[in-house]
Amino acid sequence: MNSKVFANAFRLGRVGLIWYAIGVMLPILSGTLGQSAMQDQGAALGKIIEGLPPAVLAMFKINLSSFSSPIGYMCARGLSLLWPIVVIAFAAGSAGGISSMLERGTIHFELSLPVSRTRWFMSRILAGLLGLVVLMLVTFAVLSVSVSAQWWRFMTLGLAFGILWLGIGYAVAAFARDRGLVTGVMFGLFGLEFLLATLASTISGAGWLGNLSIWTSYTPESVMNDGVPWGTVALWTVLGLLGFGLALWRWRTRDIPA
Amino acid sequence: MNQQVIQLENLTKQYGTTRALDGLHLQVQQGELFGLVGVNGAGKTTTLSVIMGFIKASSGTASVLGLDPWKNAPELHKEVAWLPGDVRLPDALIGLEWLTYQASVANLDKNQIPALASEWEVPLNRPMRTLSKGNRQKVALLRLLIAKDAKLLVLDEPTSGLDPVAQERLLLALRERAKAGATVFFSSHSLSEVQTLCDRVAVIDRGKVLKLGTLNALTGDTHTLTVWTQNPIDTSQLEPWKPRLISSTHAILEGEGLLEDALPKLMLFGIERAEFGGMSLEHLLEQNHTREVAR
Repeated sequence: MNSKVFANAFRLGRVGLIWYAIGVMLPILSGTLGQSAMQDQGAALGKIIEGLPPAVLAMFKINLSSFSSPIGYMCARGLSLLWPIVVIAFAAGSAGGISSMLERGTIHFELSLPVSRTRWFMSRILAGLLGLVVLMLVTFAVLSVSVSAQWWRFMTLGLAFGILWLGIGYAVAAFARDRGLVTGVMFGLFGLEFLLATLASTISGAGWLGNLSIWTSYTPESVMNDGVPWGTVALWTVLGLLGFGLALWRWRTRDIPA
Repeated sequence: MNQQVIQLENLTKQYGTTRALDGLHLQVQQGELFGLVGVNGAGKTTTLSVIMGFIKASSGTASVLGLDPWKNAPELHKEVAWLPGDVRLPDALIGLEWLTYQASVANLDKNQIPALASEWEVPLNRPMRTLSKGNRQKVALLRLLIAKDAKLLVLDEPTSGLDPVAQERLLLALRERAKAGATVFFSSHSLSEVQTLCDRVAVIDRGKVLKLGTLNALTGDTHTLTVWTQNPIDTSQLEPWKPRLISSTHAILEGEGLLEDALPKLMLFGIERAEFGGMSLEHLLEQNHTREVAR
């Protein structure tokens, strides 16, 4: 790793992180306020929830217990939806940054530095991983108000989830020449995974589709209540690292004409 | 004895079905000001990309400062300064921030940046997206110039985007570097541009070196005469010249003895204006193609 390339890559994302920190507080704060109001009207809310189509309930992982405690509410709203979206957007942005350099032609000044491609790329990956941790800390700085008791449980699952998608992002970016393609593929995969999980939980006999989806294993609520699924965490981390490995191999051997 | 700084032997580069380099041979010696000239798509930028280690040649060998540019790129880049043709810089950064970063990674003296910026009149305190094309080019130039100890300067069409004053200063700076022992290797699509600077020139076309030598040796007494006349030009009266008509009253003639033989004939059409210059790249390539067909 080259510390200066690492610092520069991380520095470039500082404005985004500040805006994220501000942005993430708004839905969290409004969610917290909303939860109090809903708790007061538990019976009425229960009827509404019972009346919702099963597909909607499954898609948003909503159940009555989600709204009966601050932890459940924050998990259902904050962790189930917010974190995956943040991770995908961050992975697409971080990995897409390199594709963007290729697309815009700014990469050659980086390539002409006396730093090997391996060290340069590793610096970028490590900056991406650090960015992921910072994002998670910012998110938890708000969420931990209500989930402090088991914060490390979701953090473990959430980080593995992030490493997986970051690995996928860098692998896609290593073969792409523009940021748009990376973003498109990332959100396409995200949507496909979501669809598979939803179909598996709503169509009888299609449960096996759930095995193909990352979403099936992404269960913040059960992690908070039952503990960390270490097998899933290990699998995601290994797959993410394989993605980084593939990206690194491609980066080292790729022709990048001026 | 001068050592070979760049040595390319039988270099080929294949992109799918396109052969960008087709058995290219080239040697450049230390301290030379060397120009690589060719039309768009001739293979100039591909050659520069191989020299910089951005791409790997499909076959043949490349040696730059005694190193394989693909395998030893980090070591090579300690000794080489690079200026791309189409300068693209990180938009969000301000010039000083970017140059400082580049200097710190490349272990260059960043204290010289403000003085150079002032000398070249480059605004370094603004985001680079707000800079004009010329000023962006100057920021990239500063990146090249802060590499004071670089043994090799590789420039891809360096004067594009620069105003005439800056062009002249750049050429002067390159001459000084060459005098101090650095080798300057640059590409251009204009023979007149390299004429003012280079010791030797290689003309490439379709990935091959067509001609190599001093510019005088390549062009001989061939010149270009561009004329604007009052009356339409009748080309049949200009035999054996074969003028290229831009319009009925605007023509370009190339060859030897233009002033002695062609100009008197052109006066029949009432010359409004005439420009006399060196041989064009197009003419040089045309000559070569004609010879190839004749063979």
